[in-house]
Amino acid sequence: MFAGYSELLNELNSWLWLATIILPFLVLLTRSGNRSYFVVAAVWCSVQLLNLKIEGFLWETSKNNLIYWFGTWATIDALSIILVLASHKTLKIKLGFEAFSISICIAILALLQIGTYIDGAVLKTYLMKEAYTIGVNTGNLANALILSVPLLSVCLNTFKQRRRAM
Amino acid sequence: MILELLYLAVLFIFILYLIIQVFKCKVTTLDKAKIEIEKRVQDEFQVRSHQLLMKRGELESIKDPDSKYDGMISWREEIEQYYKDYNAQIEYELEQLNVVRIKF
Repeated sequence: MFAGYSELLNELNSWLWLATIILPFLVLLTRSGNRSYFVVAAVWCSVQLLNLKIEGFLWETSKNNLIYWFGTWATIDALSIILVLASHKTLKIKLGFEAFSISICIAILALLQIGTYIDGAVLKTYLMKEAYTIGVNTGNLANALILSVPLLSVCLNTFKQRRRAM
Repeated sequence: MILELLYLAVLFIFILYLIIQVFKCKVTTLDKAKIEIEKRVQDEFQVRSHQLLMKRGELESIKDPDSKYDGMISWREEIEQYYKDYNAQIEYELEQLNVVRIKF
């Protein structure tokens, strides 16, 4: 049903981790991000790098029992939200738009992992097979897009200012 | 299998708890106090805003264009003054809040 979209997401996903790392640096250069943004960007980048590091190993380990695969991703997601919240509380700052959106997105991804495991391994209905692939890739793409919001707003403001000057 | 399901159930509840915490962290205690102050100031200014609205209605019913125009001009000045006073009151109340925060 979503074959074209899924394929596009798969292609994008292989480059997404690079965008995730580059975007915060670009935001830092343009000085458009706040502390909340950089906290969540650091957490999300770490999660992405960890994903790249353990994905192969985890796939080999979880061939016999899928709980290792889905459970680990859900746990990593939960830990990253804890990290975001704890950092904000330590720094005494409130969650910005990016931190809030990415945290909610990560939480949805974690719930998707749990739901897919229950659907595939417990109920064996396999209803969420396609939803899982598309959902995870869309979540990653959404998080990368949210990280680019400060840059987009800078571009929009510059465009508006130039238009006014003309 | 039971242990796995138990772990996932705990994780599921914990993630829901984290979502609630994320929503709570979006607004700080100071923000909540600001919202409360704005509500209080709005209540204080309610009578004045109602009077201004009533005056607008009265001005609409005036048939003489010159008197209506003059009335509208003075009404606009009153509205501007109203917003100035309203914002000044909020700023004053927030300053008071900061004094209280520093004191305790």
